[in-house]
Amino acid sequence: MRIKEANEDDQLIRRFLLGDVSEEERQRVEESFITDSVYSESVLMAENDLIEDYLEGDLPQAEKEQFDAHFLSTPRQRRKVRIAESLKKFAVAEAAAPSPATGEGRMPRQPQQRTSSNVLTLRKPLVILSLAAVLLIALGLGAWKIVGIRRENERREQAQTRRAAIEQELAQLNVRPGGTPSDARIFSTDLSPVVVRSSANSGMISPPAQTTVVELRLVLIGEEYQNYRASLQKFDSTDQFTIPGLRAESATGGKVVPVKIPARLLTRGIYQLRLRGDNGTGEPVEVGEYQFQLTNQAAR
Amino acid sequence: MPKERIITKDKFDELLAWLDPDRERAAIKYEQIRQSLIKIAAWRGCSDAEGLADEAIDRVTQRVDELRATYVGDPALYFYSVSRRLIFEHWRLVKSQVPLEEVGEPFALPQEEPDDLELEEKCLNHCLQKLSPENRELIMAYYRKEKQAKIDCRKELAEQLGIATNALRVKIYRIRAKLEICIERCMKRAATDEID
Repeated sequence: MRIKEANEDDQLIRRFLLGDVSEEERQRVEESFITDSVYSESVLMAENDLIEDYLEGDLPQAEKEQFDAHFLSTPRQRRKVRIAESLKKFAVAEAAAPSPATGEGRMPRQPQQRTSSNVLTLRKPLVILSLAAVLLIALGLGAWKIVGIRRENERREQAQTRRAAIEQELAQLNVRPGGTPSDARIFSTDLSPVVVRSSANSGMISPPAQTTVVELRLVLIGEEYQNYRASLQKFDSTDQFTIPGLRAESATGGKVVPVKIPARLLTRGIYQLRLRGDNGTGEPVEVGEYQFQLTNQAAR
Repeated sequence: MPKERIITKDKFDELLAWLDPDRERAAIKYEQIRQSLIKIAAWRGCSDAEGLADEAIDRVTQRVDELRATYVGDPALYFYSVSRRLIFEHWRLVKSQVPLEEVGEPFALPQEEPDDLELEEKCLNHCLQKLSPENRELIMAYYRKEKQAKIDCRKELAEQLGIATNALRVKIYRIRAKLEICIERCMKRAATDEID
């Protein structure tokens, strides 16, 4: 009986979060939410679970529509979803980076056991206190600098690790045979170089929410090369990702170089792609510049 | 648009005293009520959820003398009833100002500015660094997989920590709640300051 009640409650909370409740039910949930801290936590945890299901594309179509229409209706809720999405991206990128010591993905370390240090039993407390104060100040000043440098190094290392993980993922998706999962939902679109794009083809793209891979088919103009290398950069960002080993393929009316990008790595904004050709001399040749603007909420 | 708040210190002290005789516990309760009101307004589709919550608190504070003498029950429920009325008023106003054919989509709000999105990422990064190394590693490990792999990974994590998977879920929820508070503060501070 109690399990049944708990399940009914869970379902009510989920419907509440999706806006699929009567005013009476809504009031009941809200009153418990504001007066009962245990209930409040369970609603907030259910909210996190719901967001996770949404981000992983696990919501049934009807719930997904309710989520889009109701849950994402305020900036605050949209921010919560974006943060959850960024958190997942961080976690995935960090896990993809091998641990320097073992070469394996990382597991959380156990809290370190505290060891009690030896306590000196000295007889002149005042002198000891003064010495300790001087030592602490000196150590503090040194530590301040060291911590600052270490933090900066950590930040740099993390950025490098993240970039390497993303480039590895891009390479796997584009170059390795069978690199694209068979169940991938691919959104594909042709992109002309910036110099020939007309206003009718402004490079705006809106992949459907369930998209897992965005495929940009870069239309080639001019000489053809055996291999291509693309660099992807978001406008106003200094991060640049390189995708080597791309090849041209035939398409209606000419040749295109397909570039696949995991949809979850793209957020709304303007991106630039520079395509270079490899003529066998080791010196890459500029082929074209392409731009696209992702206009919808982050693709999944 | 944020409204200028008119609570005097005396009134606020009285409000805290109504919530709990112990000032520290009263302050915690006040913050819990405020956060709950914000969440409720956001779930009801109000774009200025914070503004509505503050307005409800202001209205209750104005009547606190009378409430202390006459109201029976959990003060949180009184805040809720005021907030609910305000939300209804808000939607009546929205509907009266919008042509009928658009009433069905009160959610067509302006999209977030790219600057905000960049700041969010910066603040997330900053706040992740502020977590203890154990909590940071735990939350990263918790979110690193999807689908079936995620379930297996979380089970493994719980075993490693010697706790049940639901206890792990609660632990992660609490870390995330801290993270979100940190991000909110970071974004507010960034309006006038640099991220430290």
